Amino acid sequence: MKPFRRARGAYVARLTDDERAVLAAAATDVASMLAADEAPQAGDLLAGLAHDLGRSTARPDDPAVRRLLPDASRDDEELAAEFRRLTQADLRASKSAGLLLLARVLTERPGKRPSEVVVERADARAVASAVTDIRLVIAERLGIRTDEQAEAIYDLDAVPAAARQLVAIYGALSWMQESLVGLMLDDARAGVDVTPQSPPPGEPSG
Amino acid sequence: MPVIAEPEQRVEESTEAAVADPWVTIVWNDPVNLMTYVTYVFETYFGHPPAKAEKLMRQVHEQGRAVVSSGSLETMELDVQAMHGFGLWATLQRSGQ
Repeated sequence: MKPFRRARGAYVARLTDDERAVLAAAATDVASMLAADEAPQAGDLLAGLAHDLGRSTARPDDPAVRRLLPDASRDDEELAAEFRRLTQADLRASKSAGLLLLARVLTERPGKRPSEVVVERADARAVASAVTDIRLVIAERLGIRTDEQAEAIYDLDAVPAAARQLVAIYGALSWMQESLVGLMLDDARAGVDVTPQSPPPGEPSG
Repeated sequence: MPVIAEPEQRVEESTEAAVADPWVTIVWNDPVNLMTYVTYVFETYFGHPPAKAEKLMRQVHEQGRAVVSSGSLETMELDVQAMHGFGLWATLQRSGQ
């Protein structure tokens, strides 16, 4: 694995086939979790109706999904529920799209070398957000609640064998993200950031 | 050294003035998000200059939370939704609470 650098107007890293496969699977897994949280129980007509009537804006049961779609208020349940009603479907859709984009970026091989992972500048923000979403889910699964715990996971002797794969994925994604976002931040400060959604006023669009 | 202290005071003053807005967006610390990423979000989404974005990022990291924007409920809902889109943990609150 080699960190992201700029090449041909894009951000390019180099990963082994195994790294690509594992990280792409993690991206599609998290997209599936988001979809499963929304889906009604199979074969249950009433649940299907209830789902259509608002299940998709309910507070997610899975704490990892809840970390992706968190409460928007700490003390006002009504406000948090209203926020979910307004935003949850859009957030779920944009997160799923970002995760599937990341999976595609990890699967395709448009680069000069087969090991190259190519993130176009226009996709970089969505890719970095998707990497964050996977890291949030893994952190929840590993029980990481504090900065100290986030450091301690790399002490592999203290990590149960079953969790080591998750720790490896978390570490790889953290490392990828640090190099990608470092370049994105430099480019944003140099005025070459591509911000498809809402560019700050006065910033050149190209 | 007053030359260095002066910009700090200006930031404090602008934070005070913002209390007049009825709602605020708060970003909470979490052990996952990288400092570079949080700074990137504050700079590119809110359009903050690097020094202000980094100051807010450090406030989140060291004090556990920071008020990152203020305004109407509708505007704050957009900001919170954007922060959740980035994977940052943000909440809405009436200002002054």
